[in-house]
Amino acid sequence: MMFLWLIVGLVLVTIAFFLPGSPQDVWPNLNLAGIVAAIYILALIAYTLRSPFGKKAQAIVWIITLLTLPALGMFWTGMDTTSHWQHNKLLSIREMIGRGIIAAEVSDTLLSVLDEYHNQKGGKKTTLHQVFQRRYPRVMVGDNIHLPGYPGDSLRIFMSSLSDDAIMLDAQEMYVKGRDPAFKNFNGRTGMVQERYTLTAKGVHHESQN
Amino acid sequence: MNPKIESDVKRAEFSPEFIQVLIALTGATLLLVFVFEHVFKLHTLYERYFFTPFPWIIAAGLTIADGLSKFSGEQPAVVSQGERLAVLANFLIIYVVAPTMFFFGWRHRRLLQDQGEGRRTLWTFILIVGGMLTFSAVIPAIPAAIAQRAVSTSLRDAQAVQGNKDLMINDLNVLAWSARQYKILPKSLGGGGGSFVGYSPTGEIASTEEGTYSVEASANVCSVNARSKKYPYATIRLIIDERGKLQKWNYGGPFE
Repeated sequence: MMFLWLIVGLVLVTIAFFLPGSPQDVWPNLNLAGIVAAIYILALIAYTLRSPFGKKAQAIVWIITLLTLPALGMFWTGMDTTSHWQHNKLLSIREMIGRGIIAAEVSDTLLSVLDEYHNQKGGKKTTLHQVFQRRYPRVMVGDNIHLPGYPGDSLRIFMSSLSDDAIMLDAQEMYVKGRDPAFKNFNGRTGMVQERYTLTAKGVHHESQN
Repeated sequence: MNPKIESDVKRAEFSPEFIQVLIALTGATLLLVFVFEHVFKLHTLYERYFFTPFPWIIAAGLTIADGLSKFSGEQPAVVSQGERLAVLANFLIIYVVAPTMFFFGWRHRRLLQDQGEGRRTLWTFILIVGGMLTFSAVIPAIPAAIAQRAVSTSLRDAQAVQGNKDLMINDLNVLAWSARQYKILPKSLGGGGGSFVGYSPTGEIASTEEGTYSVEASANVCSVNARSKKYPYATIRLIIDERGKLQKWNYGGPFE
């Protein structure tokens, strides 16, 4: 009889474990298996604690079970919510860092151009476009001007528009999700962080696109 | 039912022999959990597929690993079949095999005892093995649940302060960029013409969701005072140098 119970329990919990499908998350599988296992344990206790066991033994086992199962459930759901909270927090911190790096890097690039443009000797002889191209020769519209600073640096700064009196840069993260999952990014991806900076002689205009 | 037999049955439920087995089981489980745990940790596979009475710890580890890989700018991690099977095997052993062995071992031992059978070695062995594994989950369940809640609460509190600090640092970067732009722009365009004098943050730069920011500007340096809106005793003081870089960070209150 024990082996029959074992086989039934193993098969039911295994089936429950493989029913939900998510390639990146094992929690739905574990949660369903947990519910089935809890039902199995309750049925197992009810079956094995029949006569000749008396009421005292049954009461003690049921009290321990009814204290332990909810505690395990609390521990389980606590780990589930906390680990997902930490996962999402890591992503929001990464998003925040990404936007901070973009702000520091792009503003430094554009303000250096603005500085050189406004401080030309003998008046303004060259345009913003020419000043920019002196600093970034051979850069064409659509090119990425960001050099990776560390392994896994997924920032891209695309030159999206270049004219004599305006320079537009679109800074985009490759894997960091932004606010709108349907947003179309500069390079064709969807839903990633993107910030737009436009430089004119009056200064830098910033627009947080996603 | 014969009243005498009923009375004998009640006495046999927690016989001295069974209580001894229970105490031995509890001791052996504690030994397994607290003494030999570090021995298993030495195994190189332990870190990835370690054995635990709480398999959801492995699932939590996989979830956080996925977050870390996304944080590092890598492709989202996919939970491999091996990792799924490790979680399942762990779960089946503790929550299906072990209780089945324990309760059937107990029952059969008891039935043999009632029938006057002396040979109960096999069922005692099944009871002990199943009991050790079952007790490894049962004994720490309540303290672990309480500790988990406490750790989760303190983690969230600490992260709330750190999150506010990080967002204020981002705000200060924007402020530094705005001050540098002011210094670069000629006076005809509303700038400082090579000086910070006259710069004062306005609108969304002076007051954000996270904090308030004030500046004392001289020709080449801006002194910045920032105060959190969420934690009023939390402050940041720093200077913006002539190149627009943030220097001499000084954190106060909960930000320290």
